[in-house]
Amino acid sequence: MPRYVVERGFDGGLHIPIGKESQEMFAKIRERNAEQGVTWVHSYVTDDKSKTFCVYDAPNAEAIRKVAAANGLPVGQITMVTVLDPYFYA
Amino acid sequence: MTRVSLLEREALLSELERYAQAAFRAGSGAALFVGGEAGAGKSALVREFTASRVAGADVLYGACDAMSAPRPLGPVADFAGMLGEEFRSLVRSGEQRQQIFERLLDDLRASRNGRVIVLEDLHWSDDATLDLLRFVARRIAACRAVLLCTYRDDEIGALHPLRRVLGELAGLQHVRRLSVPPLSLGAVERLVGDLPLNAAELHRRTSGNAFFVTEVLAAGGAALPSKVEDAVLARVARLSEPAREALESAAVIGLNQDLGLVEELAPSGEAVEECLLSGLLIGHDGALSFRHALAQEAVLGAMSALRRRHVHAAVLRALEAKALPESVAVLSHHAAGAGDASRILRYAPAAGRMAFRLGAYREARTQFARALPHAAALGPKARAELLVEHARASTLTGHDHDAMESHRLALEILREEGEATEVVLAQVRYAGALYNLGHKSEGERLVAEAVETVTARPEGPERAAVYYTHAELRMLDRDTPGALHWGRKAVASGLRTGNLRAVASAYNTLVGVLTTAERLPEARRYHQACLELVASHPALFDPTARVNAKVMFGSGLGEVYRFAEAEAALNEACELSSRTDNDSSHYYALAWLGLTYLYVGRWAEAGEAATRLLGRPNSSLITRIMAGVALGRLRVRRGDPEAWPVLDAALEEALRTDTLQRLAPVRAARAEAALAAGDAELAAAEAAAALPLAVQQRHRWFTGELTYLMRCAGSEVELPDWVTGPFAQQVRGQHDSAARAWRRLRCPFEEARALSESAEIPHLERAHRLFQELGATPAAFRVAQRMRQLGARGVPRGPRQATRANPAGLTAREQEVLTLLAQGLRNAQIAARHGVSERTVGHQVSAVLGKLGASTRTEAVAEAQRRGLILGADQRGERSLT
Repeated sequence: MPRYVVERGFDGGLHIPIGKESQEMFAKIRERNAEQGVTWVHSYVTDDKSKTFCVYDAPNAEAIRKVAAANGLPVGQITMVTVLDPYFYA
Repeated sequence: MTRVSLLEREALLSELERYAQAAFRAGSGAALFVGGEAGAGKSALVREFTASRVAGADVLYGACDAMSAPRPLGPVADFAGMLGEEFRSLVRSGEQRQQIFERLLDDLRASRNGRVIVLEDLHWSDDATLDLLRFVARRIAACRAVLLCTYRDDEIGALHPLRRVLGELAGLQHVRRLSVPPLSLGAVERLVGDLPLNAAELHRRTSGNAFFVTEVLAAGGAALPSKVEDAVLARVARLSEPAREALESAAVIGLNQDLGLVEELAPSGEAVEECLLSGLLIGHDGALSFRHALAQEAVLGAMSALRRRHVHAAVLRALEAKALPESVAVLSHHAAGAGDASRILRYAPAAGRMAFRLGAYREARTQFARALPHAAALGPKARAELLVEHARASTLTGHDHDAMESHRLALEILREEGEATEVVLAQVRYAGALYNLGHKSEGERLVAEAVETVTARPEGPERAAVYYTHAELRMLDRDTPGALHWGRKAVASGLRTGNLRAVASAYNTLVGVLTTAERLPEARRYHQACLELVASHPALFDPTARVNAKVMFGSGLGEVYRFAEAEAALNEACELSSRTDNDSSHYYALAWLGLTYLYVGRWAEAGEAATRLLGRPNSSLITRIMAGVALGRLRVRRGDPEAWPVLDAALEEALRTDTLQRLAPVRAARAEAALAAGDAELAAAEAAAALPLAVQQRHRWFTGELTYLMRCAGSEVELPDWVTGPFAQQVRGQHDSAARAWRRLRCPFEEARALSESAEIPHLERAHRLFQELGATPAAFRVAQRMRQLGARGVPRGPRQATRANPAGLTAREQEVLTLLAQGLRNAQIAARHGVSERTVGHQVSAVLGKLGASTRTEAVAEAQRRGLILGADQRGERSLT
């Protein structure tokens, strides 16, 4: 399954609710992702919360866009990536 | 099979039982495929399941024959009697397969107690049974029924028809694959029990294969054979000579035999008894069967060729003497086994015809091929007819070279011995096969000869067929006047002589030609005429005729950018063909729908259609090419990754077809991709590859786009003056008119692209907005850059920004619309404010209402206020200024 980085911009900053509401929201997101074979790995958020870099495993870009629409999230740039870490050649 | 070995099957049995319960109680049916190697115990599992876990439900049991050309719908014939005499006669008659399928489905839907249909050994299935499988599996979810199939999963290679069917059904929720694993060491130990055998060694040698293990144990375990056949043959070796003969007869007869037949052929009744006692044969309800197909295969394999032929001949004689005639496919099988030429000729062609009628084309081809080597004895005319039947079945199964060869031989024979009418028909068939394989000029010469012949003779029905073929070849050559001339003559002649099939085909050809030539009113008239003709003669035309007409018309319209009309035709084609599982038309129509959605700006749907098609194992070449163009363009326009792999695959396939219709769109998409990547040289080369052919065939759309793309790449290529249309206008610098033309054609991306070539800020603003709305990020970015270069103010930076992660799941645009709704604006005003169409705003408002769970705008606004979604001006992410 290929890996993608999705860049997203949030004017006014990304606001994540906390507590029960947040649990429900994330559960819904995971469910909708799973329906399309998309796994949200994790995201990097800038300090001012205006931009995120989200890492996904997904079959293709179209699936990412589909779940983004279902979850009410914008999509900026989608880039296909492969993982490289310091211990890769160890 | 002892109880112990079935203990390791408890998990599987429970799973099967769960599906059965869901089906019988909740009416939620399932199609289950049980795979495993030969001898793993699939049949034993199924038998245990149907015996003890399906309380009250009726079980219909059928098995596929291990013959090279099995009985078409053989398994259905096995259980047909249980569904009533009428159904049994229907299946026996070998006609009307759609009716057979539908009756079976009706029965499943109506059943109260629940039904289990068992189909065993699908790896040996004929084509008609595979089609039935697809038909039922797709529709069983709403029945109180379970379809339970077994197959040897290690015997179906990548190209095996069953693998393709399994692939097609894979996505469905109620279709499941299960696997019967080998026995564990523990199970083998339990089976060995007190016997003086090394269980670990046995387990290793047999790899835990249940049948192999039990065979070795039944033989007393004196020595450990290395192959399962040896284990079986060791048992056979202990039989007396007469018993072995009886066993061999049974092996030749097949897996399930009539007890009477075996007894008849056996040297004595005791011989059969001995087989039963040995356990190699099992008896139940007057039928005999081998304990396992592997046993039958082992016995068959150990017979000498001479002995096998002898037994086949004996079986054949016995079957012929039966009062109730045996299936002609079975008789053909034994005749072939016996090497009996005259009987092969008696049975194989009839078996082939029956298979053909039932849509089991592979089997039909095998049967005809079986008869051909002996066909000289039939006389030249009958032999030629057989050759044509073989050729047809070969074409339908993709064996184009065999088809060509058979048509060629048929023509040769008929030239000597046939009438002029038969010769011309053979000529056009052979020409068609030649054309399929790329031998165009030879094909044309033949057709020209045929045309001359029929024109000189008095008119008969064959004239229309010849004229139609001529028109078709002219169309493929893009010779519009020629195609029209001969198409019209074919229609006139066909109507006069009552050859309505030729008329319908000619109508379709005319529709294709006229649509490409953009003479749409005439095209529509012929399309209507064709639909009326096929509707009023249901005996001659089945539902696929309407589907084909719609697909041809729809794809033709798409090629000339008439997408609104194309969508309607293609949707209907999709809908109709999904009802009859007419897959190849369905997928081709879907591919063109994907392209249509792309051009009219419904990009999410375009992506959906294209990815679904390219993910299928079975799509035809042309379907994959068009879906590839749609997906490739979509990814390029969005700036998404993996556009080039899709476009590379599409090119490879388009080059194989070697036709402008496929090459031009692929080259154009690739040129566009190259331009987006900033590689002007590549862009010019791609477009130049298809441009000369487009010019030669005077295709104004292909010529226009390719020329336009070359100009964008900086090439000074000439635009022929017969090229009109928005691409040509763009080449000539008339951006405004071009944009308006694109707008009328409802192509937002092309409209925006034309506007973006202007130097006027309002045009660029509109282009930017259109690109943004579509999600054409790279193009939007470039337009924004250009606007800044021209000194514009208030140009948005970067891609669309969303407001905070919206608790109601509204997109940024929807949030904006909601805010304006709260301010009391009407759709028209919102449309004007955003520079989009009122219809677009209508969609957005519906989406907002849906997400807020409101049925009116007032409700929506109230709900939004309650949830704190209405933002003040300072909170809205207003555009930053440069």
